Amino acid sequence: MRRLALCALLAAPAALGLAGCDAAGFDDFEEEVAVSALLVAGRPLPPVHLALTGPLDEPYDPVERAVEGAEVTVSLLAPDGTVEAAYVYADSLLGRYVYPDTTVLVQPERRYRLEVAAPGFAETVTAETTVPRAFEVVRPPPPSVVFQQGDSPTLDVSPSGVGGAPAVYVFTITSLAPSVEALTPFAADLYFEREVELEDLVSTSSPLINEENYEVNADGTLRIEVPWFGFNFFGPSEVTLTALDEPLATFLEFQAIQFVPTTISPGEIPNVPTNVRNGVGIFASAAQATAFLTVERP
Amino acid sequence: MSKSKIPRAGIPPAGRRLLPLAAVACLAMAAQAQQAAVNGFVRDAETGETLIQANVLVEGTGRGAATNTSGFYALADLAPGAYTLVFSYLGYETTREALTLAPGETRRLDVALRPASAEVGEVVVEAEEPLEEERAPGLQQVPIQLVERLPSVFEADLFRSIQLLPGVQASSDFSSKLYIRGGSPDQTLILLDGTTVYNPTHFFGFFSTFNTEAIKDVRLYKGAYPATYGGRLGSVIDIYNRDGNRNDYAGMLQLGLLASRAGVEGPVRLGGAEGSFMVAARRSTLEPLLAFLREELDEDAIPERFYFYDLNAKLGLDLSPRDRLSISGYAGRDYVRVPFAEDAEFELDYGNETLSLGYTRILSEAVFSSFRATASRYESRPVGRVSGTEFERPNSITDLSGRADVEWLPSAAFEGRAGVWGGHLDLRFRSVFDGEERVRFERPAPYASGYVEARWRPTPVWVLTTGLRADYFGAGGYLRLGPRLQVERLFGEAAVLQLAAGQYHQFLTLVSNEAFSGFDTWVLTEEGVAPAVSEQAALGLKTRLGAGLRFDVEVYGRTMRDLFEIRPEVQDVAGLEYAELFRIGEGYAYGVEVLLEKQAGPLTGLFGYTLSTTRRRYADAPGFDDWFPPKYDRLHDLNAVATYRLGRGWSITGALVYATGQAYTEPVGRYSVEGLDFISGDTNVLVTRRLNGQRLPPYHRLDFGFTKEGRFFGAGDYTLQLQAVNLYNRRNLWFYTYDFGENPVDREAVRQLPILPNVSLEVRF
Repeated sequence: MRRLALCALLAAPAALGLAGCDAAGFDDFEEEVAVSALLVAGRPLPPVHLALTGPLDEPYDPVERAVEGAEVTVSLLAPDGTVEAAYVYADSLLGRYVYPDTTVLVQPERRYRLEVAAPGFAETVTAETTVPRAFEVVRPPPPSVVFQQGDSPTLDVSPSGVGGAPAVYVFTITSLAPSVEALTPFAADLYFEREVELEDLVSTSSPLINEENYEVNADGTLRIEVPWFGFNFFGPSEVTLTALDEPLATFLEFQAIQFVPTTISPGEIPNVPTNVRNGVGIFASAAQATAFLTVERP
Repeated sequence: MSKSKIPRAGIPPAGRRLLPLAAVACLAMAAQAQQAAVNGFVRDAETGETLIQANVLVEGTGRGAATNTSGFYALADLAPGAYTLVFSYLGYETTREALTLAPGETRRLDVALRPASAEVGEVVVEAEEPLEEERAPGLQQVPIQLVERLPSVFEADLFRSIQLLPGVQASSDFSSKLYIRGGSPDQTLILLDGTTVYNPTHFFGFFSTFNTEAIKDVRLYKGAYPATYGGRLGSVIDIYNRDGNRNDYAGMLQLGLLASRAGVEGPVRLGGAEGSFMVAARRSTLEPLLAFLREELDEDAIPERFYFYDLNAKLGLDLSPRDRLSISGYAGRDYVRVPFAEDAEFELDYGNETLSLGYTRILSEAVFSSFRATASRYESRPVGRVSGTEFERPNSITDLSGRADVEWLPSAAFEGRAGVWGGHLDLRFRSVFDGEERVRFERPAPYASGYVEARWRPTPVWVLTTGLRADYFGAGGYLRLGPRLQVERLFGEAAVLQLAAGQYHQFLTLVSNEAFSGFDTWVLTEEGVAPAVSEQAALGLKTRLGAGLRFDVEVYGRTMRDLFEIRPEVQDVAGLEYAELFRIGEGYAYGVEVLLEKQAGPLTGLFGYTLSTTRRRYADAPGFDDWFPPKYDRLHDLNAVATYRLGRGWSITGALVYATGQAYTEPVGRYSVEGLDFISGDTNVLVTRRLNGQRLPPYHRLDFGFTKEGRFFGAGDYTLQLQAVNLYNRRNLWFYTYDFGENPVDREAVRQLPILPNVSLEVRF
C-alpha cells in the first residue's frame, strides 16, 4: 500500500505538471497610431490628433510620438453608407490635424467616417461614429444659488441620444473664477491638506449617467440635478451636460477600470475597446448643452 | 455512558405520516424481524457534546458506521449474538463496548469518549476506522484545535486556516475569502447549523465571521459534493455550532490585540427535558488604539469609529431519548465611520443574522430524521456624504427556508437518504443620490429542491453511491437536475480509491470587490440570465500509512458555463435591461492535490501540495474574450503546517506557504486621448496584450508561534499565545499601480502584509 501511495505521489503531479505548464512569456510592444477626435453636434469639425503609442517603460515625448505627414479625411456619410461629403484635413503642428473651414458644422444624428493614411503604416486607419441628437437647456438653473441651502440646483434639458437609444451623459462643472479664496470647504481641504493642485479643482465631471437616472418632466424634458459636491468654488460656474455616443461611453468605462478596478481583481487590466480599426484611440461624437449660475457663500 | 432500549414497536404513527420513506423502512424491518440492531449517540465524555463523523466499528466483522451531523449512528441488520463495538474519534481515547444482541432486539447504546490528553496523544489510534466512511472525495474536516493554534493575524480565523488546505487559494493576505478548485468565493455554499450565511466576513473581508470558540465541527467539501447539498457550483463548508457543556457550567475569556472573546455554557433542564446551552460573543477592541492614532497622527483616513461584533448562541434539549430540539442563532455586525476630509465622510454598516430551529427524531432503529427551519439575512448600508451631497446604496438578502431530511440505514449493504428544502429569497437593492431614489430593485424568489441518495455495497470492497438533486428557482423559473455518482474501491483497511462526479447549478452570484467585502451584493438569475452550471469529477486515493499518518492524493477537473457576473465597467445601471448588467462566462479548472497529514504524537501537522490550472473567458465581453488565468490561479501551491509539543504545556507551531506568483496584466504601452475637455480626470490609456499574461514573483511566507498552556492561579486553565505572521518579513507583491505623473510612467508595487506579531491570552474556567 505504501508503494501505491508513493507511486501516486510521484506520478500524478508529474502528469499534470506536463499538462499545466504555465508559460508566462513576454508581451512585446508594437507601435500603433492613436487617434483622438470628438465631433460635437453643431460645432465645427474638430481637430484630429494622431500620435504613436509609446512603450510604457520609456519616457514619452509628445513631440517625438506625434504622427506627421498623414493624410486625414473625415467624411459625412449618407444613410446608405456612401460618402456625402469628404473633408480633407490639413497637417498642423505636433500631429494635430485641422479642417480649415470652420463654417462646416457637425450635423447631429449623422454618421461620419475617419480615414487616416499614416506614413510607415500599410493599413488605413478608419473609424466611424454617429452623432447624438442635439439638445438644449430648456429651463436654466437659477442665476444665483446659496451653497448647500436647500435642494441642489436643477436645469431642464431636451432629450438627446443616438437613434432610439437613451442617452448617456456626463455633466461637468467648471469654475469661471477659480481662486484659493473661493474654495468651498471640501475643496479647500483637498487643496490645503491633501496637496491637490488648484488647476485640478477647476473642473469636476461626473461618472457616466444614464438618461433613466433623470426625472422626465411632463413636456418630455429631463430634469438634471447638479449636486453640491460638484462645486469646488464659490462664484460663477459653467455647467455642461454632454451626451455621448456609444463608442465614447464604452471607451470611458474601460479606461476607468484600468486604474480603478471595480469587481475585477487588482492588476487585471483589460484593453480599452476602440472603434478605430488598424489603430487605437477614439473617433467619437457628442452633443452638449451649457448653463451658467453663481454659487453664493452661505 | 447511558444505555436504553427502544421498544420493538417500530415506527410511530406520526413518523409514518411524515415521509413515505419511513414506511418503506417499516417494510424492510419487518422482513428482518429476527435480525438485531444497535444505534445511539457518540459524545464527548467531559462536555456531552455530540461528535460528528465519529467511527463505530463492529470488531471482527468489517461492519462500521460513522455518526451523522447529529452525532447519531445506526447499525442494523446484525445477526443476534455477541459483539464488541469500537468507538473512535480523532483526539479521543478509543472505547470498546461488548454487548449481546437478542433476535429482534434494537439496542440503544450511547457512548461517551474521553478526550485524549495532549501528553498521551499517541494512544489515539484510528487503525480500525473504515476509511471510506470518514472522508468522501474532496471532503476535509477542519480541526478547530488546529485553527486556534495556527499563527494568526490578530485573531484565530477559520477561513484563513482553510486557505492552508490543498485546493484552496487566497486572493491576498488581506482577504479571508476562499477560492476553491478554481471557483470564486460565491461558488462555495457556507452553512452555519444548516443556515446559509451570505457574507461570512468581518473587517471588510480580512476575517471570517466565525468565532472559533462557538464552533464544534467544520467540514469542507472541495468539489463533487453529494446530493444532500446544492445551489453552488463548487464547494460546501458545513459549520456546526457547539451545543454547550451538558455536564458542567463553564466559561472562557480571551483577550487579543484586535478583539476579545467571552463564552459561557452549561447544562439546561426544562420540565423533563435535559440539554445544554452555549453563548459565545466576540467584539473588536480597537477603539482606544484608533482614537490614539487619530489623535497622534492627525490622519483623517483612520476611522473615527470602527467596531465589529458577533454573537453565537445555541440551546439544545432532549425531549425524549428519540427527540431533540435545538435553536441556534448568530448575529454579527461591522460598522465604520471615516470622516476623510472637511465636510466629507463615509459610513458603512453591514452584517449577518441567522436563526436555525432544528428538530431531530429517531424514527426507528434504522431511520433518522431531521427538520430545520432557518432564517438568514445579510444587509449592507454604505453611505457617503461629500460637500452636502449624500449617496447611499443599501442592499440586503433575506432567506427563509425549511428543510427535512431522512436517513435510512437498514443494513451494511444499503443506505438511503432523501430530503426536501424549500424557501423564499428576498433581494433588495437601492441607490439613493442626494435624497432621490435612482434605482430600486426588489426581487422575491421562491426556491425548492429535493434529493435522493442511495449507497450500495454489493461486495465488501465496492461501494456505489448515486444521487439525484432537483433544484427549482423562482427568479426566471428554472428547474435543474443534478445527478451525482460516487464509486469506491477498498484495498484492505488502509486504502480506498474513490471516484466522484456530478453536475451542479447556481442561481445567484455575488457582486464583490476582491479587497473589500463591505459592499457585497447578491444578484439572481432571471429570464434571459440562465443559472450557471458545472460538471465536476474527482479521483482520489486515501491511504493510512501508519498510526495517525494519512496520505491522500486527489485529481480533479471541472467545467463552468453560463457564469453570470456583473460587467465590471458599468458605471450606472439605471435603465439597463437586467440581462445587460451581466457578462456571461465559461471556465475550467483541473489539478492534483496531495495531502500528508500526521494527527497523532508530539509532532502533528500537514503537508499539502496543489498543482492546478484555472482559466476563464467571457466571449461577449471586450477585453475578457480570450482565455485568461484569474488572479487566484496558481500552478504550484504548497503548504506545510507543523505543531510540536515541547512538554510542560509548551508547543510550537509553524506554517509555511509557497505559491506561484499571482497572474497580472503587464501593460506594454501607453497613449492619451486629446480633446475630451468635459472630462476632469486623466485620459491616459494603458495598452495591454494578454489579460493576466504575466506572473508576480512567487509568494512565500512563514508564520510561527509559541503556545503555553497551564493553570491560571488555580481558577482555570489558560492558553498564552505568542505569534509572528510572516516571520522573515517577505514583502509579497499584490499588484502594481501606474503613475502617469512621472515620465516614464512609474510602476509602483503594492505589497502584502509585513511581519506582524500577535499576543493573546485565553482563560477557561
